[in-house]
Amino acid sequence: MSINLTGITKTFGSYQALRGVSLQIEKGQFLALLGPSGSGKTTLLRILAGLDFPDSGHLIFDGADVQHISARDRRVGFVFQHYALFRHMTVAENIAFGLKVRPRGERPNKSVIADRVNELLRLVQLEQFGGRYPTQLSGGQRQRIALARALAIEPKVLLLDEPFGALDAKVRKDLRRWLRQLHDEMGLTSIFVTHDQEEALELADHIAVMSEGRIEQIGTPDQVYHNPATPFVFEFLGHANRLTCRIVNGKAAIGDVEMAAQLPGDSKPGDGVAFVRPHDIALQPPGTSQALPSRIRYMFTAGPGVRVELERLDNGEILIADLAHEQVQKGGFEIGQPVAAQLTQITVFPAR
Amino acid sequence: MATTALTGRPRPLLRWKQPSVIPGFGLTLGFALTYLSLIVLIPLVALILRPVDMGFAGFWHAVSAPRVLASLKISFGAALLAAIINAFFGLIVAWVLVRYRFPMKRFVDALVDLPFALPTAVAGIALTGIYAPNGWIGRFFEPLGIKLAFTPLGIVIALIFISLPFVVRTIQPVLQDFDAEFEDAAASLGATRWQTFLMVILPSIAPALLTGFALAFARAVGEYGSVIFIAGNMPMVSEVAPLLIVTKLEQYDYAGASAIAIVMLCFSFLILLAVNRLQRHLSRHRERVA
Repeated sequence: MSINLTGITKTFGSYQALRGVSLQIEKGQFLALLGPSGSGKTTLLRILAGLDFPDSGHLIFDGADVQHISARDRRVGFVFQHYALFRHMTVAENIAFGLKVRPRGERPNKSVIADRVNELLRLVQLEQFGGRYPTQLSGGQRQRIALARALAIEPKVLLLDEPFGALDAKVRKDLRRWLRQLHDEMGLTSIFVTHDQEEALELADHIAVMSEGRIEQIGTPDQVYHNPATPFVFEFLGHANRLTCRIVNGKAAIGDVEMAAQLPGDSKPGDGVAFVRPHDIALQPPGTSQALPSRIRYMFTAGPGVRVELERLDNGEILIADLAHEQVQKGGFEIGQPVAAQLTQITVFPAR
Repeated sequence: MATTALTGRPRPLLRWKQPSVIPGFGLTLGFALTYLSLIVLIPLVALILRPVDMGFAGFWHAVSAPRVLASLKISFGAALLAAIINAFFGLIVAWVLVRYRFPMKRFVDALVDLPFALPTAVAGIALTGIYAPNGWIGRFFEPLGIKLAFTPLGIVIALIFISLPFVVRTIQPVLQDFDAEFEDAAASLGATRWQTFLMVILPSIAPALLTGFALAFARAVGEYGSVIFIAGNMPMVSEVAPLLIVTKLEQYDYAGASAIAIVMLCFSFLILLAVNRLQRHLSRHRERVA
């Protein structure tokens, strides 16, 4: 199902949760709403589900205005952050709930419901658990049951609120892969909310980055990661070194070094903010031109790479660099040693 | 011997005492048992022993008298009816107090506790004044041929009044804790509000509702003070068992009074036991933990 949102606003008392959100979601997309807490992403999801209603704006599903249609008539599958499984019902009863509450004329008969429940239990790989109560399941199992319950009503769109928030790291990774596969196999249109950029980059095919009730940027994971539209997006997606600079002659002047950089469209000379990812910093011998004179403050060697903390000699600012182990060995870098930090990829935004 | 030396004291076969960071198990258990014995158990034993000198035939004669049976029927019937009515309307009161915001809400909330605090005699006199044939409410029923005060109906009204807080106050905290997410989930799965209430909310609060029902019933069955004013106290029609007990005591028939008391005790105990069993059945899924 395609979804079209325009100019959605929502306030709770004096707090403005959404300040004019417009968004287009194509059928079959797997969209992540990514942002810090308080950015309005869950409110947006609840508006899509019909659990909250916007103050203004338009909400169109497949060309039809659904603004005033209640949650119960929207046929939207919603998976809650804490699953919201009915504790007094068994797993099978939970999954059957959406079918049992249908009006008498549309309600499938008992054997059809039972078959459907078994089919869904097989789908979420919990066939033997139909008779158990939710309290007897682990977090990951509850999550899958919540998903099966949402899928039982054959939703036109699947909404997931922080689907992996309450799970431990290992289970989270397994479930992510499984959910991605399920989405592809069932041809669903899915939207999920997360504050974890890694999760969004790995799972979604489109990401909408949100901040303070607005969408900062929407695009594929590649687009938002490699071409962030705003300083917020750059800093939110992965670690970033932030340096003040001046835009001069189409270049970025950091300290007293002028360097080639990716500049904003209208690169008027003036103050700017430069962002550099830790893996875009290379260490050179001291005195190298086009690099920032620095000193190694600390090195964290336990991990896939080496994380180096650098202190700039000109103003004492700290830079974080990620290097490969062999680079560090070859260069013979040690703590306390003076080096030159070469910034291989710089993205500059005009200072606000 | 070697193992004993290693592990210290040999482990006793039956261990009541679990190792705990909070000390005082022995002390508190001892205190609790002594206290319960003094306050509850010993008086009950005294009560049961009282009619022993009547012999079984005498006991049976005392409790099977038609007037006694009628009073027991009135007491238990009215209490049961009052508890059922309160379970229903008390739930609505609790629901409104938890779910909605309205002016004077705190005042209304405090009002619920009034039957707790009011001396029962005061309640009885006030209720009689209102429901009597010439009272504020009673006068509207009088032309319809319905007499409220001085009939069994009056007893039910008094019992509803005094037992209402028990239902409201047991359901309120449970409703308060009920997460709105469950209702959202039910709605997104296509349930109507009524289906959500019947299939999701009610089963979740049923154990608390039953507790409230049991407490209300237990309170109502032994009620004396407020009932005697409104009941009319006609033998065989509107005379409650506690009143009959007092009457017997005034006639120095201690054994007869105790006999009725014992029957009430047994009935109440059986009913509360049944409620308790039902409650455990309803909340079975809560006790099982993965």
